[in-house]
Amino acid sequence: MGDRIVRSMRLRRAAAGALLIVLMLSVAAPALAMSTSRITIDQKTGGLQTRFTYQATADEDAGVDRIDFLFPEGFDTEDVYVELTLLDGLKRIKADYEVEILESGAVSISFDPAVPAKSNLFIEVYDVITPIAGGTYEIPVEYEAVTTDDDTETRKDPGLTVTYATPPRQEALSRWLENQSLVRSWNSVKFLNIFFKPQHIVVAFPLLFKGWLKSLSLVLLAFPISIIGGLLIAFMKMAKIAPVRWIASVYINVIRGTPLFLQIFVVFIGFRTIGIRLPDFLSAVAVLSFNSSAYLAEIFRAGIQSISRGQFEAASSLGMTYWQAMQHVIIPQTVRRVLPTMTSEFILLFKDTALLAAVGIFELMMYSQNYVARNANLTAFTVAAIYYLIITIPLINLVGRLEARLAQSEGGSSAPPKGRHKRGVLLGSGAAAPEGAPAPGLGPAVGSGPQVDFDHSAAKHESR
Amino acid sequence: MSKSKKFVALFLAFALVLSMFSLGGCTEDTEEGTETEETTEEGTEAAGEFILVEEGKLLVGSDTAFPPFESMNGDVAEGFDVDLMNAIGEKLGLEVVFMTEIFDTLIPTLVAGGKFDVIASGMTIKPEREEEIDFTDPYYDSNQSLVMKAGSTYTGPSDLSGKKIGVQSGTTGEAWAQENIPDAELVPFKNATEAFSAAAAGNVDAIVNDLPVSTELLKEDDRGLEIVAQIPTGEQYGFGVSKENTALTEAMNEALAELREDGTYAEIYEKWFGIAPE
Repeated sequence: MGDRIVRSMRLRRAAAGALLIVLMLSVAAPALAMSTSRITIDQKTGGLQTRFTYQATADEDAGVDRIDFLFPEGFDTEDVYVELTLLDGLKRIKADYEVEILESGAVSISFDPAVPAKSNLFIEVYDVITPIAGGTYEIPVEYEAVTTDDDTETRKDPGLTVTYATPPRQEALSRWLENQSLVRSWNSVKFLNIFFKPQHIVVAFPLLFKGWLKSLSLVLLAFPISIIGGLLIAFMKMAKIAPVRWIASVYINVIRGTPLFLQIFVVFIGFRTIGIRLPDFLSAVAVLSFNSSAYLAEIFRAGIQSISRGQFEAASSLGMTYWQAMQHVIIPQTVRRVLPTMTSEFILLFKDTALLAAVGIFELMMYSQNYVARNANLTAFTVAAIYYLIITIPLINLVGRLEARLAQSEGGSSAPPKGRHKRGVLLGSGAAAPEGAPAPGLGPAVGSGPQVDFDHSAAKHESR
Repeated sequence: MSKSKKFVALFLAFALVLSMFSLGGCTEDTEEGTETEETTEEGTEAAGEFILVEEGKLLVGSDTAFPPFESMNGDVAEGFDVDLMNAIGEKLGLEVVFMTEIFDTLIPTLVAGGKFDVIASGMTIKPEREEEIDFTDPYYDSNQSLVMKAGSTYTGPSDLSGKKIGVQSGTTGEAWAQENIPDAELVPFKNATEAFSAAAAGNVDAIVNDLPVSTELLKEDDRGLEIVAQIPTGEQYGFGVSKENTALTEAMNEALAELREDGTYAEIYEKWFGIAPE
């Protein structure tokens, strides 16, 4: 950031004269001859209101006083309107023109005065309704050239084609929805229109699915790698050799102490600038793994160290070595203890894949952002939220259940009341909404057996 | 506690949230109604019938990584758009506050309302955008540019077929690349500076971006990028205003016309572009 500020200040100071250079260069810019002109369209499928953009440079020897776009049969030009931009090099010049839509469907634009020779022409014909069937269509263009001797002659600009596809099913469905009265009244509510527009839901769902798969595959690849990395670092941090411990500490602190966003930029921009480059997808997996292994290392270390020392001593008194004790006694218990936190870390990592959109990885967030940008409607964000929740909600639920089971299995020590307490409150507040404040006596019925005392406190909590 | 009760509770909570939203929608409508009534009364003594998010302030949404039009100098926005908006604010008697937003969400946010009043973000006036919002009169003529590694050759859009093209999401540059480059793989970025970083790192093969911004960004750049082609599009920038706020559009147009007349516009133009406007 700091670097950018300094740069932008320097840039401002050096501002004088730069645009002049640009304008001078522009005069020398290569000009398109009318013969290399082209027509492009803004839609990829047929049956839609489509913008046709004709770009050309007028002939060197003649001005132009009329251009006709002879749209073939099947193209509906009844409601078209035309935007025209005329440039001398890069400089806008004024153009006076009239548009006429002929009975044949041709769009005729006449200029008065004529467009000067060699000028750049941009003609945008809006709202042409194309035939639904996809394919390549030729759009014949004819123009009336005015030579210097005031002669006019009709010239052709042949071979201009546009290509588009037949619309897929969801798009057809979206267009059908557009005309339903129920959908219309739903969309008339601003909030629903912006976040839950049905036309966008049906198109965005299948489109974002690809992004969802990408996000999911990123995290499914990165997470196992980070488990291995995390274990390695955790053992390094508990090593007897001090420098090994230091390396692990530095790694954990640097990664945990900086935003993932920054780490992404270092790998995608920094490393590549100095020549270290992996394919995008692998880079993404690498960043996520680097990041997550630091967090997992701490989770594993805390898990291992939470097993009481006595167990180590007991194991060694049975003749086990350090690694045998780890393998047969400590790790199995650790796994059960760290499972809930690990699952939470998985959820976090899955959500963090969204940050990769900033460096051009086509994951779920990227797809939804692009959709929003193109359609000026936020419905795609809602769809993305649903895709994220499909993964996260069941996992959040799983974490809760794992925690409860852990609390139960470690009964007796200090853990159970804590676990029970959390669960008691959770259930209590859930009950509060439908039933209002229940009688305090209901509390004990929720739990059972020896925890009766404790559930009382939970009941007190909810009635407050 | 049975599972089904949990689901009932969840459902009720969701219903509650929804109803709050719809209630919010109702009150908002009535508020707007009264506000316009009030302001029309005031309107007889002062020209100010437009709706503002915050009274006395003109909140401006902008993608502030688009020099020389807008960029952040520390936490202060600066640039051509910023100076011009400040001058307009002065004419309208409003304090101009720039808010950094992401370009591609500017229009939906303005349409949704409640966050900022105006878009000033080097935004081209396009009929597609005019379906969603209103624009003031144009205040700058722009073009597109193609940026590649220094020394690259470029003869026409078909050279870029199948290449990775970096663009700023939601811009006219993106639209140009989509329409003109056959089979291009477009990589949209949040802002222009990120796209340039990606090109310097070789993550994309080329960038299509507004010419004045590319010129500015590459002026003192030593990352080996250059403008290999200028793409004449003759697009024009305008400030965006909500369609429900036509009074503000008119007031801004008036201010803009005055600024052009009294020489302030030319002064600001020269400050940022080093030459006098046409």
